[in-house]
Amino acid sequence: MIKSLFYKEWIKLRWVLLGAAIVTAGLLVYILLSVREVMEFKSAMDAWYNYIHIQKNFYTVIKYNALAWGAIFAFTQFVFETRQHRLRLLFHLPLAHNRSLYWMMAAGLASLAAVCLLTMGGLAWITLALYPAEVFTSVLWTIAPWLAAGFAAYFCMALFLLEPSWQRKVAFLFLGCLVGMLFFQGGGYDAYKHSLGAYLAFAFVLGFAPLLPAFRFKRGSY
Amino acid sequence: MEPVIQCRNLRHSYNGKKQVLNNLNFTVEAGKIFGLLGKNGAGKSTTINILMGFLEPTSGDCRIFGEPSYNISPQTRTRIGLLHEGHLQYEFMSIAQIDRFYSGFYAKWNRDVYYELMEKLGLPHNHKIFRMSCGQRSQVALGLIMAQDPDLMILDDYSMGLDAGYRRLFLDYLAKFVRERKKTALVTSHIVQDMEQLVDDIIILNKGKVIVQSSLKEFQQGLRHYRFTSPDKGKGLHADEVIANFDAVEDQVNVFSFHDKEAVEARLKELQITNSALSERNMTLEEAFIGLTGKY
Repeated sequence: MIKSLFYKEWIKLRWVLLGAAIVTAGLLVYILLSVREVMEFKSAMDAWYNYIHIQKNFYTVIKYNALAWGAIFAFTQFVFETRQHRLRLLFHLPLAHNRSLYWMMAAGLASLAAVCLLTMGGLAWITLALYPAEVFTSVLWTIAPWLAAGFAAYFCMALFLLEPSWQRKVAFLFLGCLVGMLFFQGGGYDAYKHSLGAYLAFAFVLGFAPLLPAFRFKRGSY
Repeated sequence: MEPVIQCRNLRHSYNGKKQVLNNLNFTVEAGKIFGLLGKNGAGKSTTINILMGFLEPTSGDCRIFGEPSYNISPQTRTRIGLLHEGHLQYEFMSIAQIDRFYSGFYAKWNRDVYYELMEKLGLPHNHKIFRMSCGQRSQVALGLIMAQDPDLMILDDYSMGLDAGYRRLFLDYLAKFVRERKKTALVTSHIVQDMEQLVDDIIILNKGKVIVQSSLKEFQQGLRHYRFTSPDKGKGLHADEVIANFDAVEDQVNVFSFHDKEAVEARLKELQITNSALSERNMTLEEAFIGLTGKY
């Protein structure tokens, strides 16, 4: 049954996932070319000065990538499930309702995790090739909240689409924007080093939120 | 034997406002096709939503295979096939993909039944459902339910959007499947004349209550249509224990009753209604349904 659920999600997500991989790879190539341009046409010192002293991240261009794909993955999955009350089809499958929703979300989150891994892997390759290893640790600390924002965006988009009432949808959209902004408050590198745990925990807790409108739909109380 | 569906003292109101279902009681026995009839606003959709498990009633009890309809276990759900209004399905899938998807959930999945219907469509198996006409989508939805091989089928407004040909095709396959495999089916449709050839028993809802539950044959034999001419359009006539319903077009008055001609004549006399001689008329199921529930 789980295999069947994943199969359905794979049909919905496969082209979007390919698009995400192409865009993310494109951004990584852009980052690589930009850093090499500074190093070759100016000097390695310029690159170092920009990153360490001015705190101008060479990978800022990828800042909102996970956020965008988190929202797009959730949209792709749930817009088909919620149009014309199609959630009824999911809830009639012989599976516990929370399990069917969680497995569905697991497919979307796995796709997002793949984008995050590609981002981290690509940045690791670029950074370790051009900078000392310590810089890579700093890159990870810096991009972690951006990647976590992708998961928060996924949950908020799922919540927005699963909610049957338009008034609540508007409230959730507003709330989702506020939540998204939380992950992008720090400007320089390592900005979230000491509070990252709390942000990750917050993104994880958000994962339970889409169950509430889904179960209200199931009870018909909307 | 325990009934397949049992609804007792069912009441429902949306947001505590108008009572849509008012003490609804009915049972559905195994091995028959039931038609749930009712005009718009009679409570049919609410009843179907409760039966399908997508609405928790305000009070009362509705059980399917002995389990509360809003909380049916996954195992029991494998025994229930639902056809949702508008033939809802996962339209982003193709004919072959949707078969592969659903087959993973049902141990008794019968692919041959599904593809027998799909062959009628003459479409390649990679044809996406969203590219199909309403009639073709109805065949996909029916094929999927039949492949599931459920014991109970609940079909909500199967005729919606179908032309006469697809409606007939749908009914022929449905009737054959249910009769040959001794399944139970509960169907609703706005096309009442279809029910005449399909259902064994009927349940008629009016204003949130069951006003008739009987076999189709008993209902058609029991309800009678009398007509008389009255210059004052049957003024003073009202529904009671003898007169189930009535209407007047110009000076022609139609009376619907479960009683014989003598009893109706006696009642009209009691009400001092001036009338010509009563004539009894034959009715189709649709005429009987409208006669009993009214045109408006």
